[in-house]
Amino acid sequence: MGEPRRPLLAAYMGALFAFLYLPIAILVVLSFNDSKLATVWRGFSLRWYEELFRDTEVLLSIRTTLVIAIAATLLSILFGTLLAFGIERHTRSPALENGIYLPLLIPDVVTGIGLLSFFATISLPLGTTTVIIAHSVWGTAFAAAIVRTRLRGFDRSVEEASLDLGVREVPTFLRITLPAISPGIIAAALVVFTLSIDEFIIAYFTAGQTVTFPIQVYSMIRFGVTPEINAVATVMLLFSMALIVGAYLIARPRGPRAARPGEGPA
Amino acid sequence: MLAPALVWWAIFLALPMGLVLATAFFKGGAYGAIIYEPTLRNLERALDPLYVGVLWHSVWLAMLTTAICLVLGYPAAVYIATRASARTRTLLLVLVILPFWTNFLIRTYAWIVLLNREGVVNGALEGLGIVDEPLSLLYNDAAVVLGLVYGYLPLMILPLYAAIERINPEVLEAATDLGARPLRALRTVMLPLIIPGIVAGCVFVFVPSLGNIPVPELLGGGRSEMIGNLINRQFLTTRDWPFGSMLVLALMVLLMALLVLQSFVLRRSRQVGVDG
Amino acid sequence: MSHAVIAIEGARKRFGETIALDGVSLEIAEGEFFALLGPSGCGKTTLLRAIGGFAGLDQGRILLDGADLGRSRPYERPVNMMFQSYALFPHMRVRDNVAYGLRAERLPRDEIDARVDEVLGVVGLHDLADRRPGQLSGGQRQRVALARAIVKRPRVLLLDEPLAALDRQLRQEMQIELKRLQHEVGLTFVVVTHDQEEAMTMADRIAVMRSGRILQVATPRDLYRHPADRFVASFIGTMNILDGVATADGVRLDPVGEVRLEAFGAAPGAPLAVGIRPDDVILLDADAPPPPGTAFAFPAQVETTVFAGSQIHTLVRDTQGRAFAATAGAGGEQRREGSACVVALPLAALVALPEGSA
Ligand SMILES: Nc1ncnc2c1ncn2[C@@H]1O[C@H](COP(=O)(O)OP(=O)(O)OP(=O)(O)O)[C@@H](O)[C@H]1O
Ligand SMILES: [Mg+2]
Repeated sequence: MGEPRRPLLAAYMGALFAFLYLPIAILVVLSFNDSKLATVWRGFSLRWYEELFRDTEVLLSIRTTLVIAIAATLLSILFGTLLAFGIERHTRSPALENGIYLPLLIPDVVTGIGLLSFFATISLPLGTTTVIIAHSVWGTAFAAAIVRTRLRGFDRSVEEASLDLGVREVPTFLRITLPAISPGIIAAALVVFTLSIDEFIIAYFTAGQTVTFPIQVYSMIRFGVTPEINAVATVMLLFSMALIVGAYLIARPRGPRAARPGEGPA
Repeated sequence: MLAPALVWWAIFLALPMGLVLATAFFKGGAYGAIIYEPTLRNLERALDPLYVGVLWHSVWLAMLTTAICLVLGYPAAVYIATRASARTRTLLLVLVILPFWTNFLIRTYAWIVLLNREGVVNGALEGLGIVDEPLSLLYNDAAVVLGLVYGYLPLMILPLYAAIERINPEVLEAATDLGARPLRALRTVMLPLIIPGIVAGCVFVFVPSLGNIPVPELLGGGRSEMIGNLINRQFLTTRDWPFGSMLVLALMVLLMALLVLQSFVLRRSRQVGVDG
Repeated sequence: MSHAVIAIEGARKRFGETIALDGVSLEIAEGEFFALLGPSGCGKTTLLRAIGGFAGLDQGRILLDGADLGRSRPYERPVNMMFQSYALFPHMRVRDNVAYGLRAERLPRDEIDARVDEVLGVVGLHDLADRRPGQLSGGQRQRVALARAIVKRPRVLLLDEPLAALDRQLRQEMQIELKRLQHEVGLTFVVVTHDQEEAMTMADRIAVMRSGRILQVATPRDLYRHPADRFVASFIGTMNILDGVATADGVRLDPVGEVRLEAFGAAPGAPLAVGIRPDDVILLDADAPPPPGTAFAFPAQVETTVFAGSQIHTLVRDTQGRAFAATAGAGGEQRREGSACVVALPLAALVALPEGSA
C-alpha cells in the first residue's frame, strides 16, 4: 500500500533526531576545542585526545570493562541458551516462561545492593569476578528471551528430517539446530555485551576498588567538567558508528518489504 | 537444561534478595555492623514522611518520564513503521538506537555541558542578549526528567515500533472506511492492537527510571533526590545496611504493586472488549 | 439502465514513473454488479482506493449520486470497502467487527444489535458470532469482512479481489453466493478481479482495464461476442487470432483471401487482425466442401485432440504453421491426431480486432 506522506510527522521526526543528536554533537565539537570552557571557542586542537590516550586510568578501565563484558556475555549465552531450550522444548510451565523475564524487572539498584550484601556475607572479595557474576544474572535473562524467540520460529521438522536421514542427536544439534538459531545467539551476545559495557549501577555496588569504564567516567564527571570526556564520547560514537555500518554492510536488508499476506491470528 | 541457569539465579538472585529481605528486619550497629536481632525499627523509620516523600517523588518522576517517552515515542514509532522501504525503516531505527551506544553517563554529562551556568545554552542566551544573568537550568526536577527521557526514549520507541509494524495497514484503513474518525480509530483499533508494545515500552522506561542513581545525582544535584540516591547513601556513606535494605524492600514492594496493577488493568481492558 | 451511483470522470494518478490511472471514465448504475477486470498492476486497486477515499487523484473527479466526492475522508463517504486481506480487527469478536461501523455512526444499541443479527444471518455466521478472527477459516473470515461492510448499507460496496485468498472450490461456491447476496441486499457492488471467469460469472457489466486505461465496458456476453480489440479478445476466454490487412470494406488474410466485414474504422492498408472463438471454428474432412456462409477455408493437420467430457478440444495447424483451437460438442466425431482436415471459418463469427490504444 501507499506510503502515507505526512509532512507534520516528518518534521516532528527531524526535531526528535535533533533532540537525540544535538547534545552528543556538541560534545563532539567541544572535544576539538582548545579551551576548557564550553562557551569559548579557542581554536581547533587535539589536546584532549592526547590527554585521553595518555590517561592510563581510562585505558585500564576500558580494559577491565571489556574483560567483564566478554566474560559476562559468554556466561549469559551459555546459561541463556540452555534455559531457552529447556523452556521451549521441555516444559509447559507458564510460571517459568514468564519467570525468565523477572530479572529484567528488578531495578539495577536492587540487584546491586542484593549482590553487595550477599558477597559481603559470604566474604567474597569484590572485584572483576563479582561484576561478571552480577552482569550474567540479567544477561542470562536477556539471552534466554532472545534465543527463545528465535527457537520458536524454528521449524522442528528440519531437525526430524536430519534424524530421519540417519544423523544422531548431537551432530544434528551442532549441524542443524545451532546454525539455525545462531542469529538469535549472536543478537543476544551483542545485546548483553553492549549493555554490560554501559552498565553502571550494579558495577558501582559490586566492583569494590575495581574501576570499570562507566565508573571511571562517573568519577571524572563528579570531579568537574573536563573536555577529556568529550574526546571519550567522540571516540565511542565513532566506534559504534563503524560497528553499525559494518553490520549494515554485512546484513544488507533486501528490497522493500514484502506485501503482508492476510492477517495473522490475534 | 534448565538447571544451570536456575541454580545460578537461585544463588545470585534469590539468595541475595532473601538476604536483603532478612537484613531489613535486623538492627544496624555502629560502623556498618549488623546486629542480628529482629526489629521493626527500620520499617517504622522508612514510614517517616521524609522517606515516604522521597519514594513518592521517585514514583512521580518515573511516571512523568514514562508518560513523556510514550507521547514523544509514539509518533516516531508510527512514522518509522509506515515507511514503505525496509531499508529506510532499518536506517531510522539504527539512528534511534545509535545515541544509545555512547555511554549512558556521557549522555547525561552532555546535558551538564548544555545546561550548567557556564554551559552552552546559557552562553547562547547571554550572547543573544536574551538574559543578563545565567539561568539555573540544572539541579531541579525538570532537569532530572529531561535526563531520564533522553536516556531511555529509545527503549520506548523500539517496542512501540515492533508492535505497530506488525499491524496490517489495511486494518487501520478498514476502521476509517467503516466511519471511524481518526481519534476513534486510534482508540478502538490502533491502541488495543499495540497494548503489548505500550506495556513493554512503559516497563522498559519506568523500571530503570525509578531506580536511577546517576541522573538525579548529576542533574538533580541533591535537590531532586530519588530513592536510589537514598539507598546508595545508606550503603556507601552512612553504612546503615539494615535500613538501606528496608528501603530496597520498599522499592521492590512498590514496583511489584505497580506491575500487578498494570497487568490487572491490561487484562481488564482485554475482557471488556474495546467498544461499548 | 437506472441512474449512475458512481461516475468517474477523467481519473489520472501516477506514482513517480508509474502511471496507475491514465484517464479513466466510468459510470456505474444503481444496483449493478460491476467488475473491474485486468492483469496485475493495471490500476484496479488504485481506482478502487480512489473511490473509497484512501488515495486522491491527480486529475479528474469522482461523483457519488451526482455530487463530487472531492477530497472527503473515507469515514465521510457512504461507500464501504471489503479489503483483499479482509483486514478484520483481530482483537474483536465477529459480532464486534460487524458492529464496528454502526457504532461509529452512533446508532442506538437496539438497532445495532438487530442489524448485526440480521446480517450475520444473511452470511450464515450466527453460530460464530463470539469467535475472534484468529479462530476462523479463510472462507469464514471472508464472510465476516463482507458482513462488516454490507451492514453499513453503503451506496456502493467496493470489493478488492474478494475471493483471491480462497481455494478453487470455495471460490466457485462464493461466486454464486456473492451474486445471491447482492440480489438479496440490493446494493451496488464493484468487484476487482484479475480472473476473467470470475468476472463473467458474477458481473452484470465488466470494465476491462490495461495499463491504467479502460479498454471496454460491456456485459459479459457482449465482451465475449464483440471484444473491442485484440487485448480484450485474448484476455476474455480463448480466441483464435489471424493477422491481416484492412481493405476499404473488409479485411484481407494472405494468402487465403478477402472478406467484407462491418465497419471498424481501420485505414485501408493498416494491419488488422480478425478473431474467432474456438466453438465457432468448423473442422471438415480433407475433401469436404465448405458450408454456405464460410468466409475462409484452408487445409490443416490435426495436432492434438482432447476429450473433456462435454466437449472435444482440437488443436490444428495450417500449412503456414498457425495454430487454431476448435471446440465441438461431445456429439461430434473425434479426429485422429496427424490426420488432414479443412478449417472453415464462418463469416458471421469473425470479429475485427484493431490493435487497440493500449
Ligand atoms: N503506493 C504506490 N507507490 C508506487 N507505485 C504504486 C503504488 N500503488 C500502486 N502502484 C503502482 O501502480 C500500478 C497500479 O497498481 P494497482 O495496485 O492499482 O494494480 P492492480 O491492478 O490492483 O494490480 P493487482 O491485480 O496486482 O492487485 C502498479 O504498477 C503499481 O506498481
Ligand atoms: Mg490490486
